[in-house]
Amino acid sequence: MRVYLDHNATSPLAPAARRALDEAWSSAWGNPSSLHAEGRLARAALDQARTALASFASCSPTEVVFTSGATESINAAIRGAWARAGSRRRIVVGAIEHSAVLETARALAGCTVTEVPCDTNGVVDPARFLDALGDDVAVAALQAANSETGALQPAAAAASACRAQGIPFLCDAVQAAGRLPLEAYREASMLAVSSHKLGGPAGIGLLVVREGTELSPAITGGPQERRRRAGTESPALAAAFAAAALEPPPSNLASLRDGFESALRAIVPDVRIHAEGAPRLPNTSNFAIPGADGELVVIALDLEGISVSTGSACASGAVEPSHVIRAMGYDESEARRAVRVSLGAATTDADVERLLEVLARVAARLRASRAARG
Amino acid sequence: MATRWAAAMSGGVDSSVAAALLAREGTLLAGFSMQLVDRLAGVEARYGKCCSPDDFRDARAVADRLGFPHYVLDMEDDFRRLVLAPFAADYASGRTPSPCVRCNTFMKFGALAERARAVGADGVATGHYAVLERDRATGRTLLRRARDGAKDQSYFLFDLSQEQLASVRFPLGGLAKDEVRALARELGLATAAKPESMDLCFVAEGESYREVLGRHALVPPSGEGEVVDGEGRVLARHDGVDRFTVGQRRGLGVASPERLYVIGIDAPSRRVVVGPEPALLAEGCVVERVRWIPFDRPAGTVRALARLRSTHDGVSATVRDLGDGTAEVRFDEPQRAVTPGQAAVFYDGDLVLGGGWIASGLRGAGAWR
Repeated sequence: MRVYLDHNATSPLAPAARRALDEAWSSAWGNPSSLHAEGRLARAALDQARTALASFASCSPTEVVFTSGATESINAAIRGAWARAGSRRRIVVGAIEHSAVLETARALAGCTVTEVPCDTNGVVDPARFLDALGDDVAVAALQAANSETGALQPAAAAASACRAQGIPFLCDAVQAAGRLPLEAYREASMLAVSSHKLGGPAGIGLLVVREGTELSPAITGGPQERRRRAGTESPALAAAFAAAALEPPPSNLASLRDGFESALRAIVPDVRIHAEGAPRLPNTSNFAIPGADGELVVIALDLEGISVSTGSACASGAVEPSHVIRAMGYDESEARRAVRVSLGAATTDADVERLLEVLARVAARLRASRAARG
Repeated sequence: MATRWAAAMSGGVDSSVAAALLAREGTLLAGFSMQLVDRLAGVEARYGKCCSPDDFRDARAVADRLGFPHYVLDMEDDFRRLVLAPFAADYASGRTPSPCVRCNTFMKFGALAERARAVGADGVATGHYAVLERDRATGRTLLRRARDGAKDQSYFLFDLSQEQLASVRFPLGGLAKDEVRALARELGLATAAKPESMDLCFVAEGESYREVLGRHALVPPSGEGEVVDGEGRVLARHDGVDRFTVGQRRGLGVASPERLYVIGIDAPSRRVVVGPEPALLAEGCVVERVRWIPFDRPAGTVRALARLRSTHDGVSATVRDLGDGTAEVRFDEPQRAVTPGQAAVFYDGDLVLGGGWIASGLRGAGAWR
């Protein structure tokens, strides 16, 4: 039996989502834009999912735009706001945003990107974020929680400030969704959520676009999604996404994670737990074991049946040093040692015990090896 | 955890079949590909012939098919330090580098083997054509030529220590090339029809190694200099000593009634010395960083077949280990183009006795350059 502890990368399909998929593939396979019975069934399934997800995201159903996933949502938000920004030519983002945010902002011609740094706990300073705003800002973005460390960001405060100044604001809520209530971010003019990180299928996500937010569609074509996103919707994926989002969030994750970290510290006293001093997602632990390269820890654990992660991977599949850990002020070797464990709804005490048992062995072997850099 | 071996996989036919043979006999495997030259390539990614995403995809497809995990390791820093920097330094000192030997010694059976053991593998298997054998009397690991002489790669493996050889497997050593191709087809390997890799694997099509060195912030060896004859007369100018190798005839920029060859390169003065064919002949050479395989150090002199570069058939020679890491090699017949920077590898039949790095040629009683 493998132990899967990489839920911040993706989560297995929740049983409720699988049932919803099975059901919708057979009953709601029609085109929601068609006027006939099959179309109406599909439209009903899509609307039902939209209503459920609106309540999940603390918005109204008309504010939910389905997309192919959070990366598309983020592109639609940033590019769409940029296209309407007129003479505003600056974008403000947190330095530790997901590459979907950073690379999209950097790719815009004529755009100056202001990256607001984080502190050693991996939290973007709200005062500095607010200072960076101004009447030349086309759009601002701050994540709700960091995918690598789990550190919660001051996105609610940033949302309020942007709202007061009339700046479109995107909250990347991909990691927070399903783990924390999204109500706190209701002042954000836009909010991106992914289905597959919370137990739904991959291939669908949503962008909340608050009433009054001016956005050019990033994908043009038919009039779907109130002309905000062209292309035939997938009622089945939407239904499964909604079913996963409606599952109650697991309540034991923080105690499992905290138990893991104190046991890890007992085994490896010099372990460094990143963002430990920040409020974090309950399921995420990011740590570095001196003398143990993160990539090798992940491979060694994989060979023993345990799935964890480092940071981001490059095109070839090799591991690159995490830009998040670097932004927290650590050097490249520390960034290369980072290992992320992220728990999910099905994670048990036994899973964590197994991880600790194998990790103790793997860490000792790696630290004895010349191969482990740093 | 059960015994597991690391399969070093380039995505090519040989390493794929090697992995397949081990998988078929039931060895638990983990595949590893080394990413050597990508991260510094900039926005317009250029990849060495050895490690493009396509090669990794092929390696991954083979591993998937055979049912074992495959990983790409970022080893650019090691490659720069252990292969590229010495490669640049060799050129800068007027030598003709031999990076493939270093890549084996320090990358595949060095940094990669260490990582593989660190994650729990017993050792590394590769698609090299060479045979390993345990010497029962001494407990040492012996290195022999491959059964298929045309594919033999033992030359490139002479510099492995006993510790390294003890945790290496070469599943292809006893096979002929067409047997390997047939196995690749039989196993349905995606790589069966791939051409064999040639030249410097880390240099992409359409670029020069100078560009690669430049990207890695290594100074390409350069500077203009003079082409001179044996008496020091200036015959022409050149734009860098790295353009030349001992024995080279073309591209000298010299008009002469007789055929002239590069007979020596003096890097500090940036002088390329040319001369007629007889001046190319050496009666021996001095090698440094000597490695012996069946024994720590020979007692007395050793009679051996010495191969002076990878394409050299070899010359009978007498080798004297001087005890200070160097050895003197005396050829039975004079040899052309003995090239500093290349490896001299010593054989007794198919047994690799050892080798060393050519420091200088020998003429008459003394050394010359």
